[in-house]
Amino acid sequence: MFVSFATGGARRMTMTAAKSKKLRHVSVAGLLAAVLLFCAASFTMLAFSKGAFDYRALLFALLLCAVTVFAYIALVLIAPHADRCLFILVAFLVILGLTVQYRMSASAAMHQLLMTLAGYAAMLGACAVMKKAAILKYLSIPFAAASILVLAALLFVGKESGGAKNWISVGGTLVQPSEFVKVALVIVLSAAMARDGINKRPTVRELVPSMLFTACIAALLVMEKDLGAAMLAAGVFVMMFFTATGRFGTTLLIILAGAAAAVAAYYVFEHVRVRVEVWQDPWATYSTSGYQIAQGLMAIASGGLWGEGLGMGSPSLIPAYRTDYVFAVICEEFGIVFGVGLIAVYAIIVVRGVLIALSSKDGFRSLCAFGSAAFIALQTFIIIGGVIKLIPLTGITLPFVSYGGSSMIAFMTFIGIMQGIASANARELERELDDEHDGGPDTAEDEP
Amino acid sequence: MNRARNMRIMLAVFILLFALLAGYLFYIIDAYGDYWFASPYNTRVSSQRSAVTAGDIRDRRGVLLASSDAQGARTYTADEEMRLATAHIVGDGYGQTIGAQSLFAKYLLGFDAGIAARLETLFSKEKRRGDDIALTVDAELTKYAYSLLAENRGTVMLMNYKTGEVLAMANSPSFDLEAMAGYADGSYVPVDGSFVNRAAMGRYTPGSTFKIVTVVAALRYLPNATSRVFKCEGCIAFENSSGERVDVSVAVDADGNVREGYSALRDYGNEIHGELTLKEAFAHSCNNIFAGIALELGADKLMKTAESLGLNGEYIFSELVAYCGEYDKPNNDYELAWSGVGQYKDIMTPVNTLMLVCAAANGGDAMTPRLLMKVGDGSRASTGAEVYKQLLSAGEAAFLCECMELTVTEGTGARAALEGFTVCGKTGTAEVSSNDAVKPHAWFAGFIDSAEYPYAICVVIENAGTGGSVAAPVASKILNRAIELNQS
Repeated sequence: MFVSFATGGARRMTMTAAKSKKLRHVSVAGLLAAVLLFCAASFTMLAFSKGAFDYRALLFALLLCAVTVFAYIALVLIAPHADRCLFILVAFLVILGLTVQYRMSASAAMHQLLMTLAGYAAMLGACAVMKKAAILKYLSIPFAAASILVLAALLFVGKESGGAKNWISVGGTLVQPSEFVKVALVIVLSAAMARDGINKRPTVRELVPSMLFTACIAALLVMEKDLGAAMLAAGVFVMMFFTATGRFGTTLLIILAGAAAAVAAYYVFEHVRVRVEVWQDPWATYSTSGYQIAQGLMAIASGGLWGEGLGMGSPSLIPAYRTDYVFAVICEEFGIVFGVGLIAVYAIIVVRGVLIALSSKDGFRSLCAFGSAAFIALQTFIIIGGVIKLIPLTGITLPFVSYGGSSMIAFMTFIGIMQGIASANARELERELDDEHDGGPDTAEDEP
Repeated sequence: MNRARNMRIMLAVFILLFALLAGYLFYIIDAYGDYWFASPYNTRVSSQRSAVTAGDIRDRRGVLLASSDAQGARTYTADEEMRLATAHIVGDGYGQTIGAQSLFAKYLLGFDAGIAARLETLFSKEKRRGDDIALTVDAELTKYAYSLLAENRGTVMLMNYKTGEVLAMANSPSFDLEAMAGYADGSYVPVDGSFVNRAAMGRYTPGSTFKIVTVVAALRYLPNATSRVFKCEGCIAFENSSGERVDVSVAVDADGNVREGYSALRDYGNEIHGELTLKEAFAHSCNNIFAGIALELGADKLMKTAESLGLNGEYIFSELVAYCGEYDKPNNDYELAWSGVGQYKDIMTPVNTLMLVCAAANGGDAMTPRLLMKVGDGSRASTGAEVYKQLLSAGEAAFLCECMELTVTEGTGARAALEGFTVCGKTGTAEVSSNDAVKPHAWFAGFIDSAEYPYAICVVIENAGTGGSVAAPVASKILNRAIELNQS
């Protein structure tokens, strides 16, 4: 149902523009109401769960609803053709994340709410900028240079936190620049790979610089012990490379090279070896390195199908319960069925992102939207897969849900990019319709 | 060759990845969830223990095995021998063993309660009480089995091969549940090795009980195995350096002594059986013929058969934590020959052996072992009888039954016989030390061929002597007691 109203209803608009518009608004209002209701219900439960009635939980919920509605209205004002359904799904994830954060610590949730505000601002900003995407194209070289400089500088001035040396302190708060490098990477790669015209594609030789750039970024991230981010950068590069060139053989070759690098890392780095061993059998080293995975699995198993109930679990037993392991906490308290629902929400967000990319005629914009969706898809897969022991664990955030400002702002920027492109797509379509029918979209209604 | 096509391909990849996540999450929780939940590491369970009064545990006849007193502390049956006999079944609450108290903590502590019940607890000051459960085991029978193990180390497991219900599971040495409170501070020191549930997790050398596996391999891979006549010449010889089989005349001198640099595989008591059919060789537990069969089959086929029967695998039973046997691939003739008769590095757990016997008795289907009979008033009954796996074809099962019947009527298992019933079984005498002063482990695995009393049993008594003289009579007594208890 979500998919059928994809990308501003672009295809339907040619048939019955006004009708499809109306339909979309109705369904989206219902969805928005449902999400706000979820917010109200879960915070009401939290208000009751701590013995004495906690009225601040209700205030927090009210504030959160206001922020959500405000961001929604602002988005629609800036970009009337933005994908509203996409926004509401993201808002749901944000509300879920804040619910879980509030359940664990009210003050942390307050901080995260501020970060959410910053995130929404970043989304609106990115959306506005994306309307003039051409500017970004020219900024890609500075972006690339800045990314490498910042990551290189981190090697010397970076602060270590959570095992990775990739934080810097800005006015007292720790910022993780690698999160923003993700955004820069998508823009730089899109600019390098985009060719106008449907059947034009870059040659492999033309893409060597962007390959080197990605390798450079990944190497720097590995040196900072941020394996997850390195894997992501490499993965997104491969996906964008395939999309831009369509070369199965070369893509396979790059994947094989990546696999060889991963095997080499296994033998060279002790911490990579430990990760893999722990993945194979977390119980063997329960008291040391296997503790986190084992605790996560026990948390998910304790929740069962329907969960222990909000506020009834023991999330703090798991290390990194606010950030990397928030999925295990959600499964424990909300249940596996909810967890699978959450996976579905991410899937729909990614699908809508790719559909936006598909309906863009502009090569650069299309790749930007695709890269953003690919980042969300890959990051979600890597962290949830790690938590449920499908793949070795690498500590990265669950987009929109984990505690952390840098990640929130970066992923909101991705959403902003998608929204801006969705809006641009719709305007382009409108213009085409105008040309065809020598009138506005309103006259399209008269068509049979 | 355009961008849109590539993007659609990637879209399919993304959807696949997400489907994989969701599918794997369901799969892994379905397969391992109960294990992880019941893990002694899961402190969520122990923290719930202080908030909820745990329910009672009873046996199939209603005998109270574990309960909670007014203060919520755990109390166990006052009958000391029964307490020791059922210790591994009930399980301690201190993370040393995984028994009913942790496997079924979900019910005992009310983790499966609905949202309404949970909310009620949240608001009421009263301590909530978990559900009572009844187990499939017969505490009286388990106590009797435990008493027969007496001072020996060993284990007995008895299962209904039609339903998979575990009726008895006793291990010796055992520990006292009532004294476990003193375990943490060192005031109670149980006998070394007493926390091991030998029936489910004891990794033993199987000796001749492994011939069940070799027979199945022969049925599968040797042409005319059932009609062929095998010859036992009393000795198979090997060269030590290469491990290759050599002619007996090379290795053994005229007086029957083995020459330096060679070794010989002989039968128990140096018996020479002469010409036997496969069935007779099984009944008389002829090592020479079975070692010969192993050599004829080769390591690959024997290993493939062993793995199809559960060895080297992983048992995922939701109501019993159990290990499989192990078959290590032999590298030369010497190792291959000995692996065919249950020595070399062969490992079997009593439960793995019992699963094979149950499959033979039940037309090839091994049932999933079950310990939970009912939860609460029975409105939420357990899953019911369930086929774990078809281990044997109907023909293989029938032939194994005949082999095992012959073993008891005129072979090594004669002392397992019960008047008025057809008992089928296999003995095992597992050499566990090159020192002759150390006695072998005595094994008996078998069943009663009866629709009314479909009981299969596995007995292992450590360092006690031969299977036929030590384990078979114990099995016979326990089977007899099981029939008696179910007649009244």
